[in-house]
Amino acid sequence: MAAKAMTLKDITGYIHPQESDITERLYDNLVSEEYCNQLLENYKLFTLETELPDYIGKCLEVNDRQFPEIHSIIIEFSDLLEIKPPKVYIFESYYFNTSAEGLDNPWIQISTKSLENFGEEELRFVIAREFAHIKLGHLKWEVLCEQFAKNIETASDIIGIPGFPTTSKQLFEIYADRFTLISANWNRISEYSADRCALAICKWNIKSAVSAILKQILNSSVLAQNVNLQSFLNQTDALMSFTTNAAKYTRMDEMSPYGPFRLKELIAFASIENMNL
Amino acid sequence: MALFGIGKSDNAESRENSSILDLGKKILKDAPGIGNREKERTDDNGNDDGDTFFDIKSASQKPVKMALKGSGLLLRKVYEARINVVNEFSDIKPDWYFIDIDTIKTKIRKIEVELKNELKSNGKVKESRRLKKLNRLLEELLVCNALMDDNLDKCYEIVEEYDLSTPFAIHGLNCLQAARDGIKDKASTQAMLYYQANNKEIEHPIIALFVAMALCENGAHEEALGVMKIVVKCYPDSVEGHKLLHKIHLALGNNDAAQLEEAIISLLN
Repeated sequence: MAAKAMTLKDITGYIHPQESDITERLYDNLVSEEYCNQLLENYKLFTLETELPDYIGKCLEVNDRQFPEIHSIIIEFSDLLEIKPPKVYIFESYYFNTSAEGLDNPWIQISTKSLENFGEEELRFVIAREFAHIKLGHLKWEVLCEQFAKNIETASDIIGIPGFPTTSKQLFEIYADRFTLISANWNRISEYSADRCALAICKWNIKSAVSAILKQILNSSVLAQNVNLQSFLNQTDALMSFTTNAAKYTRMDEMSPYGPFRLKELIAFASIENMNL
Repeated sequence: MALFGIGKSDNAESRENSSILDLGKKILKDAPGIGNREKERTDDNGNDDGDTFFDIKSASQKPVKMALKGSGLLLRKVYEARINVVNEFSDIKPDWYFIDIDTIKTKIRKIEVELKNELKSNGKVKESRRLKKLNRLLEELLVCNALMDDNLDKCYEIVEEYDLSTPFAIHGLNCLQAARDGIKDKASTQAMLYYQANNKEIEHPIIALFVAMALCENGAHEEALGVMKIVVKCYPDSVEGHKLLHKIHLALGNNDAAQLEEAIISLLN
């Protein structure tokens, strides 16, 4: 489908409307800027140093000689978004998994299942999503959320809080749960933003976007091909019928939006955005 | 160093291990019969008859049951505290924009509280100096109730109770009732009357759909496009909505957008 010309330099115009507010809320809950800097330092000094050699050692790096077709997509998107081309690694996995990792020098990892089961346009969409995460600066917040969560867990084991009515471990668990909801909220919004930006990058190819998302959610090409989209989207009604706090909690602690929500929002975004072109 | 996630300190681990051991010892010590276990559990030659430490038959279950009962109540409190943390986030808007009944119910509750406070402070509606505010609140209440599938009766009750003559009370409800009855012409007429009377503002997606259809018939395709935003936002999976959008885009010469709508329609069919 030929698309109208789009200005991809202003990709931030496609982000979810709530992203700024949710990011601010997340930042307010990360104790202090100094603490955040410490967390990022820890990540660079320890986590990165342990993870990156594993990727390089156990995976295939994409370049102009290994998976040149993927390499050309990487160069294309890097030019489009005016960012330095990230390294891309193919790793063995039974899951449809594509993600951007790292901080100052991010990389993208693509699972073998993705490579084997996505069509070209579907692959472009999932790669575009990760480029969107990189371009929009999401990786820094993801790292902070991970490191903060780890720190809460560790701190609960070693710090006693005398004089409090509940045990220190329980207090930390409640605090951790609260932070989980905040970081999960941010994460879901960032996923919506990535979907929107990727759709724009991939020239509004809604069919490939929906197909790729369904495969990722269901982890099966066969299941994805047999989905009746209207029925699948109607599942939002059933989901919203659960109104107890326990049900709300389980909805709110999801790091990714539920599939029916994600697709409904993407379809609405595509339609509305194209009213403005 | 340990504070920043490097790992448990030796002190913490040994404290944890010794407390578990102490608990175990306490249970065993308090269990009748276990203290004399060794005497009971020797064989005929007076030798120790295997490992009696885990002998379930001889261990008293009472102290264990008491400990478990106490922990069950504590566990429930912890679960409730953890789950009820969601109340702190009641102000967070949902991630999505399509209509969901839970969000509407919450909005209705808020409006009802605000309305109640407003009426308490100012007596009768018609004599209220803040008539405009009350009308706005009531209009919002009507729209929200109308968005709940079978709440038109509730809307009529509100109209009667407050003797309302707002645009929604008169034309909006008529439009929805006609739509429900399958009288499309009447729905369309009432929708346009509402649209004009309400300064071309619409919050209800079904009324918006009828307005868009009427505008299209009158050749006002650009205007119809603007009205369709609320329809798609609230009902992104409505095939009828996307079909109308496809028609509008074609009329405006937006071929790429029309193709996108066609793709969406084929996905939804």
